[in-house]
Amino acid sequence: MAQASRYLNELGFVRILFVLTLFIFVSWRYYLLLQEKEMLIFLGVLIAFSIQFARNDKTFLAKNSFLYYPIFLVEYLVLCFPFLALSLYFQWFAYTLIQLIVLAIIPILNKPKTISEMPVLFNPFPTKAFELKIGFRTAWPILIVLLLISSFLSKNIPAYVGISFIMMLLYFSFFVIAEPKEIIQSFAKNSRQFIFRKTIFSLIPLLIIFTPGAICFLIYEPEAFIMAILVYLLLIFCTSFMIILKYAFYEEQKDLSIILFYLIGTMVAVFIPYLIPLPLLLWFFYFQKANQNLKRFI
Amino acid sequence: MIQFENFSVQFSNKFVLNNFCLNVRKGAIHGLVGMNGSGKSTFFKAACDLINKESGKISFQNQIIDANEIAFLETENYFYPKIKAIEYLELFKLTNSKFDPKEWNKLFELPLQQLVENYSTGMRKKLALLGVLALNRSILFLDEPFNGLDLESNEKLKFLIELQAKKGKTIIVTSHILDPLLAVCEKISYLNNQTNAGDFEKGEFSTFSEMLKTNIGKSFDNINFD
Repeated sequence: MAQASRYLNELGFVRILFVLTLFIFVSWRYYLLLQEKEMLIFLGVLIAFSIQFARNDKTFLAKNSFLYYPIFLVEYLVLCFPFLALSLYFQWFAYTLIQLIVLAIIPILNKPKTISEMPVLFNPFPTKAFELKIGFRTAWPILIVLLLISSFLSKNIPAYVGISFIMMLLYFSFFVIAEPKEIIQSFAKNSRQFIFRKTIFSLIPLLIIFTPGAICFLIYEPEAFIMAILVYLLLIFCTSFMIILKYAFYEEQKDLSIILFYLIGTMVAVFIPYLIPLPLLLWFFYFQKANQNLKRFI
Repeated sequence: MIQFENFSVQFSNKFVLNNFCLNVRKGAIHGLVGMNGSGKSTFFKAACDLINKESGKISFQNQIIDANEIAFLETENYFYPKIKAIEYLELFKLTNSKFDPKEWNKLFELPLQQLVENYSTGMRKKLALLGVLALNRSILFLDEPFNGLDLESNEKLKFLIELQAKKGKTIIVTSHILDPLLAVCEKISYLNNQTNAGDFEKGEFSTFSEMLKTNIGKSFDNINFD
């Protein structure tokens, strides 16, 4: 009972209903679009992992360590219910069984009990990637709406590309808020180490989120795989460039929204063949500038 | 002695600091007082390289000290929006792996799971102080650390400052409330007319206090309160 009330308190009943409805809708869309039974397992596992990563109840788990397995299992089953229900509805019993087995295995990964004891690699939103963590915390309703619209428009390529571009901009806008100088000072002992660490911390969540997508592309859309890889590389480059831009212009409490325009300009240059070297030159130019600027704080 | 030599800063062609010098014993708690706008915060910012300065250097035994050996607690504390206090403090583990936010928080008992934007001024001050201490730097600048703190927290802060000095840290504190400074500092410098108007050792604190009262009395003489 204590666990149930804590869980409801943490997630909120309305939010659970909303999440369930959303998952049913999205999984239905994915089913219609892809006609792939494996996708249900993939989505179910993704959700189970996302719950695990988002856990914020270390004290509760530490006090109830003997209950951790049933606690996790019940939670995963509740949130993956739409996928189980769908596969049962279509009488894909083997896939239902696979989902159940996977869900039964995932709680074992939680054995360290506290997220802080888990390796960074297994936590896609480590505290150190605070821009992403806090960005997603504040922008998740907009992201879900955009995701829904994009799933509606998935057969209309220009609209789909447009929505994806907006989502990408929303993601990059997470970097326009300047943090207190103490956070910068806590990150590294010199400016180069700072930029390196910052880029790695921001890329780890991205790689974890997008790698399964890239693998799916390889399996289901092998002819478009090169395109997916290019988008993937562009995302990595832009994230790195955004971080460099942020610290090239950083001042405590300064609004850095202007750097989004620099980024858009650079993204456009990537698609114009003659201008391809320009983003790389700009990257090096702003890298030096960021390096100089950070030396004032580190 | 840590020497802060010839700090000059000007804004719009007007000197806010003019060849300001300060000698602070390593490991000491040193007070810095002055009127509003006398340049105390400007001195801290200039020493930390956060603003441009005309001149000024920090040295210890003829070795230049870099600004990155200084941790600076500002008067107004700024935090990243929508961040939880625990998330803020956890970040400091990157350079100081021994820092345990929950252990340190036993002193102030802040609700670490709450968003910082829901904190009161005093709570934000305490959280910022924990962050500054977590940086584990050898020189601490504390600008008005007693502002907005309740009586109990004031006492805890005094204890914390003394503890840091015992660990060998050099601390420069400013405050408009004289009593806590008199209690913790071994020396107080008076910043007036853009420069150091005098240093007062612990034994001279009563003289310093009297001097301030006399100055305030003089300014009252010219006002007609009728």
